[in-house]
Amino acid sequence: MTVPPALEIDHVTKRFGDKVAVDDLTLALEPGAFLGLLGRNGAGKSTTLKMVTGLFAPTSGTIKVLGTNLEDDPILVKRQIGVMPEDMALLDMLTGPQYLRFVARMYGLDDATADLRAAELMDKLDLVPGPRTLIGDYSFGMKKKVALSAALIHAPKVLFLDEPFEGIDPVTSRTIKEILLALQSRGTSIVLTSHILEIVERLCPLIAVLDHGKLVAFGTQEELKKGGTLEQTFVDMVGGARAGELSWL
Amino acid sequence: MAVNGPRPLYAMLAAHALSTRNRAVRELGRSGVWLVSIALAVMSVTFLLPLWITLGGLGFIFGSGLPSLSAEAVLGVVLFGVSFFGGAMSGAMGGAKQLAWESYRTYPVRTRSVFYAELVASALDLVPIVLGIGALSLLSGVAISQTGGLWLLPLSFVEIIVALLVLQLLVGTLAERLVVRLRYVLSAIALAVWAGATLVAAAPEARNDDAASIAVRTSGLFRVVAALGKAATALPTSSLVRSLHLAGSGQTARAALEHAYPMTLLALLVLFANRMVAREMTSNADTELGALKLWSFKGPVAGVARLSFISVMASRVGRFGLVVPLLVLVLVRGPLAAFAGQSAWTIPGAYAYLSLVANQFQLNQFGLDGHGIKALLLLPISEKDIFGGKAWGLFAYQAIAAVMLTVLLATLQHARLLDLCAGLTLFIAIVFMQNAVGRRTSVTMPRMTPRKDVRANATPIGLVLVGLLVSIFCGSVMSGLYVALARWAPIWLLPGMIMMAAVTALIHRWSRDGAVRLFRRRRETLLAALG
Repeated sequence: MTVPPALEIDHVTKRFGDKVAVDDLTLALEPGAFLGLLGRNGAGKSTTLKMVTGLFAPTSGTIKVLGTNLEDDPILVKRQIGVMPEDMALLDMLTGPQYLRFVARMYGLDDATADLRAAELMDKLDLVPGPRTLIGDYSFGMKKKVALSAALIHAPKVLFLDEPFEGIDPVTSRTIKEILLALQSRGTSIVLTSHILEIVERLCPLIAVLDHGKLVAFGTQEELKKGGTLEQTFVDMVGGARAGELSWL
Repeated sequence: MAVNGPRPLYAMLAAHALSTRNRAVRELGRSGVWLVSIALAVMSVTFLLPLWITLGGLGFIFGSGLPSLSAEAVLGVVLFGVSFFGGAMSGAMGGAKQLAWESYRTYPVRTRSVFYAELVASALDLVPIVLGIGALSLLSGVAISQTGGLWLLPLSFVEIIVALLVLQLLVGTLAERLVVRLRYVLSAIALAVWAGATLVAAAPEARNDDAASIAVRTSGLFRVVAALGKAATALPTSSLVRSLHLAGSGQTARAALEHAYPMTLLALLVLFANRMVAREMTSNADTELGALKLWSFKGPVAGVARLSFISVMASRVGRFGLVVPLLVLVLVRGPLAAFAGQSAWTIPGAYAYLSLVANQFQLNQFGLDGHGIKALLLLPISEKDIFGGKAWGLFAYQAIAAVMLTVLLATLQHARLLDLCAGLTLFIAIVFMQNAVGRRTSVTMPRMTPRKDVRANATPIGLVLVGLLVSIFCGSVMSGLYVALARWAPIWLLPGMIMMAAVTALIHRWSRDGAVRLFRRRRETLLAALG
């Protein structure tokens, strides 16, 4: 039996009125792949992630996750994926442990498993909130850790992370990298967006670059960099670097 | 260094006006904005315009009677009612929250500037517009009757409208403080209601209706009215009326002097409100504590229901709603009893009024989730289950309020069991109706509901109109059926109410699939508005 690709995006386009946010995007990821999705602000990375996680419907094209068409069975797809959106999207009126229990129960885990995993995640990520503090009152970094924990708690087969390292301290950042590499080694497919190219360079064997909604490059780092750095390759691909000082300073 | 003066004020007002306009256009579309404007214009012409003309006429008639004590007292009391009770009522109802204060904390702007910007922006709330134009009509009538007093009309109007706006802001701020201390407030009100009810029950029945007794009571009433009339002339608004009369009779200096008293009071009120609001704004928002223990549930519907229930109970508006059964009882035993006595409207009126509490939760079911809506949509739950969970969570919240009211009506009002059962069934029917309508409005006109704020947060005008229509329908048609059955076919009261609840339950179930389809179509709108 052939194993279906972890993610298949087939000629997907997303329009908002006249604006084309994602333009005829096609790519496929094998199980266990680790993809760094790069692009400038507004290039269409977050819109792509929103489409593959079922938040946005594509204007045209199809998306399959682990062989299941997202449009046909969104619930089945969502059971198998973990998502950390850029703005985290947490339920502010719960405490961190309450939120993790809620999410875990929604994925069908029993209370004991949920609590065990939540405790382990919180320990690894050094997430120590006050027992009576609601998520709404957490710091940005703490919210990020809760969002990451929620994305991991049900051991997803495909993981989508939008800017997971933004606002995270260096120690936790290192822990996250170790967790992600461990997940990948166990066969979890990961799609990650980040503007921190050093991290992408270190973590992601596969790179996709979006520019103005179009896929301008997709391949292994070696294929794309051709001996240079990822930063230079990226800037060469998307262009637009403007040198010089501000006239009024 | 903090910046003060008109520039930040203009900037805040301009930002507020532009964001309100952009939001309206985005939510309703340009044609929708026109439709709502036309609906408002029709309402103004058919309902408000006649009201304003009538008030203008009354102002002229009473103005012509000046300087008589009775005319001065009546005008003073009416204008005082507009500014004082209008402002207090609007503030308690959730008016006045217009600016996103949190976002202004980061700028070098004095809290005073934010306060004034808030004051000006809140002039566009529904209550200040209606009452403000009403007061202007009345004052115009008075000023026209005193021809020479027209020049003082703008000043008098400004004083009244500013007082209304300041009180609106102040009461809204105080209401929030009360809600934070909900447990104590509930205990105090319950104690007062119990004490009042016990005293009333213990008072001897002095209802001797013979002619002599009626004459004594009538003369006593006249004395009270005369004393109240005299007291009313001491109101600051009576000074405004006197000033218009004095200006009309050419006594310019005395007319201007009459404004010293109301303006001093107004200045003190502004200072006090500014201080209260500034304290609120600069204080660190306290942490609302939900249920801190970990909770579990069986399926997705139960999970969303529990989440929804906790969100409502942890919000200040939700907590405020639990005071309402007590307020309803105070109304039933107080003003309503005085007007309607033990009429057939008492029970349905009480339950219909109680249902209004959850109107904003039902019509905007994702408001308290805020950007957490994205978390819900990412979970493996169907839209049908999300709606189901929301409904159960809100039903549970409303059930608590209904049980509180039922117990209060049974113990303090001594309502009959049959009436209470019928009233509860009416309440269930109303809740089904609210939820069925709310599923659609929640995905078409979503808006973030502030968790730590009692005051409204720029509710879309479309949602206000729908809420009004639902309230009118439930209050008149559904409660009307209760009253009709209670009066003409009492034996059918409970069966009739059960049938009505069954019909609304069927409508609720029948409309679900359409609402789910709408939810799927409007998912991106929901995320754009909340996520």
